[in-house]
Amino acid sequence: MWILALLFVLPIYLLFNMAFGNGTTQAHPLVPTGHPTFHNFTQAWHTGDLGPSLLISLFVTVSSIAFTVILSAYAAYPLARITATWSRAVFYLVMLGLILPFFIALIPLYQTMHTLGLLGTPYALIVLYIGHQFPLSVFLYVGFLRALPRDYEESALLDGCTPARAFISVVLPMLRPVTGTVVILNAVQIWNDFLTPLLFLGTGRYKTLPISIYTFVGEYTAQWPLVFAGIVICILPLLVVYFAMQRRIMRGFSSGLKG
Amino acid sequence: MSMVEVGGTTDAAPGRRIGNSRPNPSAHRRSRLRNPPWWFILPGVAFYLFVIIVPAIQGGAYSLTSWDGLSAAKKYIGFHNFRQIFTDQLARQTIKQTLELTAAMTVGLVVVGLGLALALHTLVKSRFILRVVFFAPVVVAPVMVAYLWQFIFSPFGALNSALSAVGLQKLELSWLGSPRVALWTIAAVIIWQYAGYAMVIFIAGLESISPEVLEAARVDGANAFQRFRYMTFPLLSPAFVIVLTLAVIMGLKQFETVWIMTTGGPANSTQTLATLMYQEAFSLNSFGYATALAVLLSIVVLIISGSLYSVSSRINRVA
Repeated sequence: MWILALLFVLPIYLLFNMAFGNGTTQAHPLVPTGHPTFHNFTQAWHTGDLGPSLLISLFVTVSSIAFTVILSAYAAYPLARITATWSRAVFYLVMLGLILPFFIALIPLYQTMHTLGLLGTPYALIVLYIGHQFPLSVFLYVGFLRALPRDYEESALLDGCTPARAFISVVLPMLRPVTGTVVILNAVQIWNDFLTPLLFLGTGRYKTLPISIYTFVGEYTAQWPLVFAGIVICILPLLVVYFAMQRRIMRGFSSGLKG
Repeated sequence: MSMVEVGGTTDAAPGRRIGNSRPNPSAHRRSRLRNPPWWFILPGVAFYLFVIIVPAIQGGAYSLTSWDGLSAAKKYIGFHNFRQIFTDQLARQTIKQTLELTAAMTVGLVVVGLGLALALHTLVKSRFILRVVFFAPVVVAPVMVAYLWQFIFSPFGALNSALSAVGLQKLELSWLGSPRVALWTIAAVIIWQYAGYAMVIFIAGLESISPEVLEAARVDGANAFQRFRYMTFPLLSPAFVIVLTLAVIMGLKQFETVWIMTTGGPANSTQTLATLMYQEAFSLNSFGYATALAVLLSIVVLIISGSLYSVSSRINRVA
């Protein structure tokens, strides 16, 4: 078991070892670097222009998730509670988005964004992620809401709340656990996404971190220590969050897909 | 049960309400209670329609044209693009490779994921640390994983130099440069990244099996293999369906790992439907043909996940 664990750890160890190494004196990428240095990081940060990309990545991830959480929680409520045919039809139409390959929408959407003049801006990405992450988030919220007892909402309604008011002050606060899962799953997908920003930001002046690394590798081929330092900068935020709350994240991933 | 106004103002005269009460006020109240405002779905669904459904329908329409992405005219050519897919040598090779990659990934993820889950469910003491380690690659961007392994598998990279350092030069391969090997190398990388995901799903399945059931089988004289074969294995079938569905969908749509590690090469030996589609659309401007590939991919994915879904609901009915 530990040998297998080593197989999982070695590549990650190698990544950090190279990123902190000075590149020239190492006999083999696996030999521990003698003098760990931040040199690669500062150089990658400056030449790769990673600062602005980090901000763009943060901006896109945070605002897409904020919109996704609000819009999908609102949409999930009637979809989970109303049993009419139209409601079930809408639910299945939304679930179609879980399996439909995004590629089929990609090319026409590229044209639409071009027409709207959003191509190359982070707003194109945000709009796109809200729509794209909607099915998974609705799926999670509806699953949670269907298992949630209705007594609280009903007594709020009996006390004279309007249905909208009951949702905001009674149901929404109870959605906190599943919202954690929604945020985690969306954050991993959006932060790590490559194809969509590659297409919709292109070679413009806004870049997300994965796109910056991609162009960076193109310019500095075979300067692996530099590339690896860039990779560490890109993956570190999510890894830190992951190690801080691993149980919750693993549970989120396994619970998110039951059904 | 007292009469309570639903959603009304508090100081409206209650007496008059009671006087006007309907034959079955309770049923009326219930139905009002149950229905949240339907228009709550509108903003989210609008984004969803704009980003997924409308473009997907447009995509379906474009697949019947010879559009180049630039000219305003989209010439209708019927199913010509689809006929071309099935007669074109490269497209057929690509379909075959996509299916091979998917099959290899699926088998690998099931075998490695189940093995890890079984081991970490019972055997090891430090199983929580190990779970965290095995799952970690899942949260790393696939592009970054691909770069890391591209370095490891490069001709003079970490793997080959480690092999020669310990005297195993015979095992040195051109991992990404040989058309015979490259696709399997990529499959291995994807399995490395997502085995922890499969593991977590299988562990959740294992944890839902009550120990009493297995203990009863043990008392009745079933050995370890029989207990696994006839108890654990069937009870894990929901987990199998989830892992299979995920692996198949992920395999058929595979783009990022391939694009970074080989860009479909050498000699198109790692071309997948997704990378071919990307190249046709954005390097060759064959938008019509590319959307036809995307339609084909969608149909395949829908058929496969639909059949897996029906299998899973049959299992649920039996269980």
